[in-house]
Amino acid sequence: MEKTILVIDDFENSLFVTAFTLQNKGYKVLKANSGQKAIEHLNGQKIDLIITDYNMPQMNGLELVEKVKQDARYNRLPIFVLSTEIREEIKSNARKLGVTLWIKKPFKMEQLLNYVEKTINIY
Amino acid sequence: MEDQLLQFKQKYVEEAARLLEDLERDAMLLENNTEDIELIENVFRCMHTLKGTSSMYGFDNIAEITHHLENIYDLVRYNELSINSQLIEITLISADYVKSLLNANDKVSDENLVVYKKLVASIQKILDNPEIKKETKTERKKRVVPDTGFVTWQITFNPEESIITRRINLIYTFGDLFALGNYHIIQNEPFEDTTKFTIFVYTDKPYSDIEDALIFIMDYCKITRIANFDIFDDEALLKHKTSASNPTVEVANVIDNDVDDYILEEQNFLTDGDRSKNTNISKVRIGVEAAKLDELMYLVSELITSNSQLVLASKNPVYDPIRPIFEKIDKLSKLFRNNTLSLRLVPINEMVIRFQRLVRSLANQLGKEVELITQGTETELDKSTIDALADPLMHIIRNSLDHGIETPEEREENNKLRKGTIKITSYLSGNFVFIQIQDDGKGLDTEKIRSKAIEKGLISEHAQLSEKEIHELIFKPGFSTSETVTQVSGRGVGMDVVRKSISELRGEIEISSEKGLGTIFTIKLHQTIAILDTMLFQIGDMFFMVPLSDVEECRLVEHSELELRKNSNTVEYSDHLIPYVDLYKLFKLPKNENAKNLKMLVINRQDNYFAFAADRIIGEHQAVLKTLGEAAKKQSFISVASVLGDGNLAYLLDLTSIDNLIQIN
Repeated sequence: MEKTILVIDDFENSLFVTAFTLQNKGYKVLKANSGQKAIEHLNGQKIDLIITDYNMPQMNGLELVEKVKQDARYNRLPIFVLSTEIREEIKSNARKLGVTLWIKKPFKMEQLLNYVEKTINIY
Repeated sequence: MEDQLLQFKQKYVEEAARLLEDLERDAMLLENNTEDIELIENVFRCMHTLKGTSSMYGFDNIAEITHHLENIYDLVRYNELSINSQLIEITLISADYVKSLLNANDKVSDENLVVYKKLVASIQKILDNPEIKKETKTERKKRVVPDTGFVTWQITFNPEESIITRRINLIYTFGDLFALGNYHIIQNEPFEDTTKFTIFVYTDKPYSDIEDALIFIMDYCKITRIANFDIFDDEALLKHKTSASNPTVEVANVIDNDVDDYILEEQNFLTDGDRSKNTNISKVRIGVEAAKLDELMYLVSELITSNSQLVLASKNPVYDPIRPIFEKIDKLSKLFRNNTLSLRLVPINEMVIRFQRLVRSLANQLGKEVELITQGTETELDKSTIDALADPLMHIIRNSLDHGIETPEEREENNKLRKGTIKITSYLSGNFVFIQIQDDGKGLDTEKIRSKAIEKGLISEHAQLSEKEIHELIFKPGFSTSETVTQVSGRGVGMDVVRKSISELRGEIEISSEKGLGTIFTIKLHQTIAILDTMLFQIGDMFFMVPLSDVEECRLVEHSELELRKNSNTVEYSDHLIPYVDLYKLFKLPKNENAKNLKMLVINRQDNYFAFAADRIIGEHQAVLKTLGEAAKKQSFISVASVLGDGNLAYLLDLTSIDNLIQIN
């Protein structure tokens, strides 16, 4: 069964590379370059995982997570946050909000794929 | 999709080029700071990032070589390999190789193939035979102790409800952990929380593998290194119990008691925080086309001119009610100007780092020992100036290495240190930036220069020249003292080209040398401040400006006081006598005999004081400087001017030449 991943990043280059990599692995990928656009994707369609950048203008990754958690249809989704941020307060905040995994940038693509597979059982 | 890929490919190439610059710089620094953990981490991360992104865009050859280097630096990070010159050399050569691959779309040319094969051979040798680093007891940032063998790790797992809300999938977690080696699971006491348990794993895999396996539940685990042997192996336990160097571990109690008692070394392993400390601080840079900056500069200077006109016009009392707005615009324009100007300013340091590399390899080639020292390289210059300076400076350095600095043996014979020094210094003075290149080599050989000059027909046999004049001869076109133009100094690029390049930048170069002691080249450049804050004043019907930063004070002075000191050319200021310059006389301007008071400006340049008088001090003026050209070349006091709001020209007084005038008198 095809799995769908929603990827959010305001930096086009990263968004493209991440989406491209995931697509090559057989996932269906929805792209958004802002929190707002991401929320537009939450229209009832099936989504299995959200991968978002943290540092974004207007709505940062955690603010997006908050919004997602408020949506009854999507609040049981695993969520990864990608960030260069390492401050404990922010990561602890993320944990409280229910973020599944905080991935440090830069990261290896294989690692990300590894985490994705282990989270949504692509096999 | 293909177009998008191409677009991002270009961005990747630019990013990679920048990474390589950082890599080169850090590798060079690392050579003299072999224990610097941050530098090691930086280099590792560079390789890592390059490796990661390159295969994405089809640069497989780059991915391959960076992968090898990443492995090497991983060993360095974990203390299994130490930094030495050979390693740095390999790193630098690899960086060059990657650079050429970047430019050739990952195609390996024939020359590069040779380089590549040598690189791989050297790397393989290192990987096959790592030099184990000696244990240093010095307090470092807490790091992972080398896993040169098997280790028993203790992992305590305390789950919390948040595991569920965070949708953490546990299925694979422990499986991956158990796959690392022999494991034992120990449940805590019955009356303890039954969801907690402890796992012991005996493995030779590095800490990072354990971290990886447990990545999803890291927040709920505590990982500790227990022993260098399998604590569940009776034989091993016995051996370590009797060995004097190891504290005894009472295994019988391991399962029952609180294991904390048995922890040999509680390591605070590199937390996420430590490891990525540097990624946060890396400067975010954006590449901008120079042409766009030029356009911006032009607009800024137009803005400043208009602003100046506005400020002048607003002095009319009619505008009093809206004066605050004018002042705000004035302030904003100035800030905007400063900001924009600084965009193009680049510290000289960036250029000088490249020279480190040059000096290193040339010195090696020539069999000489040379050290490059730098000072004041935070001094900033316009980017285009720096680019234009690179070649002349490199040429001077090459000459210094080739002809200036002697071989270690020669130096020792002359009671000098074996290692020669080339020192690059930079400082600001007045409106100028000075760059000095000094070496402690054998200096210029005046006899040799003289005879060569006669040979080339540049001077006659009988010419009587001072030593300084002979030194100047090397700047003459067609002059070259080496019999064989070495590959190091290059062909056909003489000191005359260097002088020409520098004068094209409106700069000057001078040479000073003493036989046996060394040579100093001094380059003087204009600070490219085409927009300058000045103090505007009037003498007769001419307007003048001086840099605002040089003005100490403006005050009234009585005519009679000046008359008193007329013959001594001084004036009283703050309990001292300072030199006084009569600009009226200098520029042949009419004095207003009726005025009882004159306005005096007191100038302070690096504690050098002097004063002059004017008819009227108008005030601060933001001048867009334009050169006056040939007409002004006949004298040295004025070379640039600014257009005032009313169309008049205001002339910038060159305070250095005024200073010289004072010295002469």
